[in-house]
Amino acid sequence: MGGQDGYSRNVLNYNEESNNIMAGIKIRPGDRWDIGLNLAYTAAEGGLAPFELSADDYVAVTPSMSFDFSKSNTYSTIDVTRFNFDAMFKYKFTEDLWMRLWYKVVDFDDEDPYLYDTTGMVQWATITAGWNF
Amino acid sequence: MKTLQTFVLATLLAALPIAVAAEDGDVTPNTTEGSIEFGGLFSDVDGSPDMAAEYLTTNEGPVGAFKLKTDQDWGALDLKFKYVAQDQNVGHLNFDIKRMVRSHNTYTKMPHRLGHDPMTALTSVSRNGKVVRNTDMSPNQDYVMNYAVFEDRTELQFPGFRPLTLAVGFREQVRNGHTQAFTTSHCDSCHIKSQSHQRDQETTDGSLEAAVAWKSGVIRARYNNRKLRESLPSVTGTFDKNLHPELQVPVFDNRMQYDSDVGVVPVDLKPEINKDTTRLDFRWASKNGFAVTANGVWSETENRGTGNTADYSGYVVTAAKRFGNHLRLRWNGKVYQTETNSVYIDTIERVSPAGPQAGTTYYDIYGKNYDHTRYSVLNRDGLKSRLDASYRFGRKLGTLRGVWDYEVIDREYYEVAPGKKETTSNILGVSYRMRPAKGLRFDAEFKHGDVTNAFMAVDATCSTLVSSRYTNPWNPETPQYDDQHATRIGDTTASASSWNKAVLALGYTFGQSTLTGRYVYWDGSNSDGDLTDWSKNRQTATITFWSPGGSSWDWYLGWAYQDMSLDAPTCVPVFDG
Repeated sequence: MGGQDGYSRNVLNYNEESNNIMAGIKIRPGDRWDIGLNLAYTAAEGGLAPFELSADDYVAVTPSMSFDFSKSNTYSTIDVTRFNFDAMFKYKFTEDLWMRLWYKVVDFDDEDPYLYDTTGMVQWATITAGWNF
Repeated sequence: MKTLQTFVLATLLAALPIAVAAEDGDVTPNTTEGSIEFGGLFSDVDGSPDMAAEYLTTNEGPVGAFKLKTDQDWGALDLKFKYVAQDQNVGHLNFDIKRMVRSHNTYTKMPHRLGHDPMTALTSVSRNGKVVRNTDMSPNQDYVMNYAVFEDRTELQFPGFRPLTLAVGFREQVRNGHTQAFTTSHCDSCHIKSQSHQRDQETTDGSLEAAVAWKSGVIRARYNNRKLRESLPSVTGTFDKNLHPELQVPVFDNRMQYDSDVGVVPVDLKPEINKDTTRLDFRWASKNGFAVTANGVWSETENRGTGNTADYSGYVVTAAKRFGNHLRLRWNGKVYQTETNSVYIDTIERVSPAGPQAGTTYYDIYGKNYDHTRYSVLNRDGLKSRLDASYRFGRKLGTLRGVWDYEVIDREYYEVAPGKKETTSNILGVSYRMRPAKGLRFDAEFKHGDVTNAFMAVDATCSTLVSSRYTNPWNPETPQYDDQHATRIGDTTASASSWNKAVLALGYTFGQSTLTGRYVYWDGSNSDGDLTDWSKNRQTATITFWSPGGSSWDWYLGWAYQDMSLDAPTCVPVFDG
């Protein structure tokens, strides 16, 4: 059997929403210290509403060609969160000689993987010494 | 590395004036300050770094930073360079020599993780044995492109003739690493192959500029030459043999232009580009508050592989006039034209080697021949106009502003409605800004857009074809793709024919603290075509607060919200077989 029997049509509805909060503080507790802390958190979701693309008349006479789109809307769903935090501590031994510690973490959570699971956490830290001239 | 060498060379060149000045012995040092920082970077990756560190290094090793800023009799120099890792560093170098030579240089390098598609979505088997399958020929490859760009602009101004400024510009962008190359073989079954494509792309821009300025105006001419080159423009691949999807025999050769019979061929071919751009600018302002600017841009872009060219020419005029202290009028007009050559793609008409259609071509069976000339949808004449009037009531009562944007796009080939190639849009906007009290600022804006023949694909979906049932795929009466296309009645779009936008913003400063809020609402739709029914609604809101706290600390807090809802129809043909 081969042939076409018209078309099936639906209006698809796609919704996305994201919230992002961020905060930071810089502190100079004394002449020798500089401290900075930054925080950001993002939650984002996006996805299609369920759709049927039903072709009832066609399926009624051709039951072997029935199809099921009940899960198709979920294939491209996005549901992610991202947490960012970084901290910097700088200590001045003298006016011109100092040391800096820096730390950063990004935690990405992929709750509904699309092509593959991109969930991952990366941490960085640096320790440096500096001289002003 | 080449880009980094360019930056280092520019740094050394910049150091020359210091040495020359020192030898001259006529320098009175004024101020010099800087810093050196050195240490180590440690990192840890748990899971995938593709999103958590999409544009950041995960390498470990030494880090360093250098800053130097000096103001001397001969001029000034500002140098900053930070080395984070081999694939991530940033720097700038600015200097001027007695205001005769002014140079601004920047350098940035970073990785971009592209992700590795495992192609698990490309795996399926139908009830009767038709298969979609994939082969990953580089399963362990990390797809990362390292991006590095160096930009320089150096101006020369001669003491004997100050009105003249000459400038040279240079930009080098390097992208190298590996990208995932996909190829699809058809007809035996859908077989998607993936392999690593090593990339080494370089885009260089060189520009020359001359400007002559006088008390009330300036005229400027600029020429830019761009070259995009790919050292490894393609990889090689072999397509599968065309086979009947169930019987697995070669009976469909006449339905495909080529398959494995052409042997190893280049795939994932990336084009190399040449682009020349010339620009003329003119600006003039009178003493009575009237100002006019005009410019023209001409460019030609050439694909070196195909020889296809795209030409652009555009002209812009802006006139502004202030009437007293309250009323201001401004008009901006632009006309432009783009033209890309048409392309005829010759087809290979193969003969089926076996089966009921053995010895025949597609034309022999179906008697159909198609026009394979491709016309550019970008070919067009465009006109844009913006009229902007503002009236300032006073310091507290604020400013009222009205805007009218008018645009016409007249396409050469592409129809955006049956028999129509022209899109006309009108946008009317009104905004009001006031400062009702000390520290308080209020902004409101409303815009309405109306588009006649918004961009649309006419008869692109919803095929109404109702055919007979054919048990034999070789039956010449079987509907072909063009039969299915010719019976489509649905128009598709992602452009609004009517939309509204509203913006509200508040700012409040108390003491040294600042609170700001902004809300944007956009709503548009398009039901002009057949079965179009497209609509989109978007809202964004932001609130930020910053406070100095105390003398030894300051802090900030922010929130951003975005919400979008999109309605768009989809049509699928109902097939049997």
